[in-house]
Amino acid sequence: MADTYDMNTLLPPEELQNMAQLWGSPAFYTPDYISNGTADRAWYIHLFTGRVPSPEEFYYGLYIDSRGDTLAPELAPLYLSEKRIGYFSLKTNGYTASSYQYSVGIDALANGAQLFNDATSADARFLNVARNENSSLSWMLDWSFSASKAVTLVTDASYAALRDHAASGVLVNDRPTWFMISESSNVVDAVGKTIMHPSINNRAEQRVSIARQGSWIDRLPIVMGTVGSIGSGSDLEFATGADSITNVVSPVSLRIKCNAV
Amino acid sequence: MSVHIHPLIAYVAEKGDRDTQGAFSTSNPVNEASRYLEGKPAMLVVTDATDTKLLKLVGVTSWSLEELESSAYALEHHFYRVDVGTDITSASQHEDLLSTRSTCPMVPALRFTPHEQFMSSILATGTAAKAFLLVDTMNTRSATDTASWDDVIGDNATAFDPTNLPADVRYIRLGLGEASSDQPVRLTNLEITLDQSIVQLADGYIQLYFMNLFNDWSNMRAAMDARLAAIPSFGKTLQEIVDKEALAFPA
Repeated sequence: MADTYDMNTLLPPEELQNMAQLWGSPAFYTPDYISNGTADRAWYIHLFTGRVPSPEEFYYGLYIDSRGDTLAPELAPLYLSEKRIGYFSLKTNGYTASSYQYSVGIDALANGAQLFNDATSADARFLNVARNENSSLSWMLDWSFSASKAVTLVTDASYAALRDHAASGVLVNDRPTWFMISESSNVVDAVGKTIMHPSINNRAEQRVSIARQGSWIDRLPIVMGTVGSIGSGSDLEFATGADSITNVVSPVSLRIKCNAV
Repeated sequence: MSVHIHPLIAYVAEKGDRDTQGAFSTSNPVNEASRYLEGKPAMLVVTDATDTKLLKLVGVTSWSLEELESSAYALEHHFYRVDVGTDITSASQHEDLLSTRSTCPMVPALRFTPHEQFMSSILATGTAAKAFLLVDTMNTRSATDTASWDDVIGDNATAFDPTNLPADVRYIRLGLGEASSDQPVRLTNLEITLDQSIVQLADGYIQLYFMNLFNDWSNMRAAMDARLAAIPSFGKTLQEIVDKEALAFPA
């Protein structure tokens, strides 16, 4: 049954904010490389091109690409996975050798969010992340990145295909336009459906990507926002890498505010 | 700002097998505050119209990924063309989104699983009118023994007052009805008498969907239906697709 009750007495806004911040903020980190699958936290920021999905597509997990959304109208539309440029990650262990990730306490700072300083980690070698006393508590996910480091995205075949499309001038937006954050390096798991033209053979009019919670929940997007250059007002701003399809990007910061309150 | 936070964040933030809780020592009580509704003792209290307590039942809450099935939230447009054929009115040229279970939003379910399905703790005679789910967010009370909740609901004679609960206990009022109703709490009999041996909960568990988690999503169904309506090969019926395609793709 849905929404036949007042949820505020059970889930007041401040508790919703706590939930979001617990998901978004690293409570523990290790300054040395310790690989522990349970105590490690990782967030994967996947970059996409094309039309930014609408909130209703995000809510229903049903993403539509029509002719002209990502590629020029004379070309067939793409599935969601084909629009991914690549990803970089945020981690809580000190594995600094990786070119595609930022680690809290090493080359990134985590601020703001509610960090449970009294909490204990599943692995005693992990330390509590101290909260910046001056930071705003309203940010569920708040990272600043080392200015001297750019990340190299981890890419797959879709990156090469998008580069080719960009080179031939058929990409509507020759740049990353939006991102999603999930708990997996894998692209979102979606069932693809092609909607064909009723009378022209082999002409795909739409591609629909349907992502459901039935499988691979770690690959589902939890946060979605826009990507742009510094000063663009986008949710994720890049000092480099915002103006073309490239695998080298340098994000300035990543701050996501929980809008529950 | 156009950032969006998905309702599934409640599930991934609280579920024990997800990354967030994997970082915490779940056996240590100091970490109870890191989980708000997952794995917490809970009590279902049923009262009559004047707040006299009739029934109480303890159990545990958990988040679940069981999909919502609700005609109020399901997309109206769900048939779409999947192939080229000469007979566009043929059903074989279309697919139904229902077959992929993808017509309702992705919202995590909050589940209350009773310790026992039979309400043995009948407290008074009366007509069941209100149902409340109380959740012990700090996990200090029992999920199997109602006695540990005496400080929460008071003795049987006092009227139930959900606004006067300990700070670590939160509540939600739920709809209540007979087994044939569509209410979240369904009892096999609303007329409760003290000499009854049992009143049975009609379902093995109670499941709640909070449709506006982390955002006001209330116009999403209309927005999604409008988006699908703009696509010629989507429709509520096969005939609607045929009609729309005839306009959009004239022969």
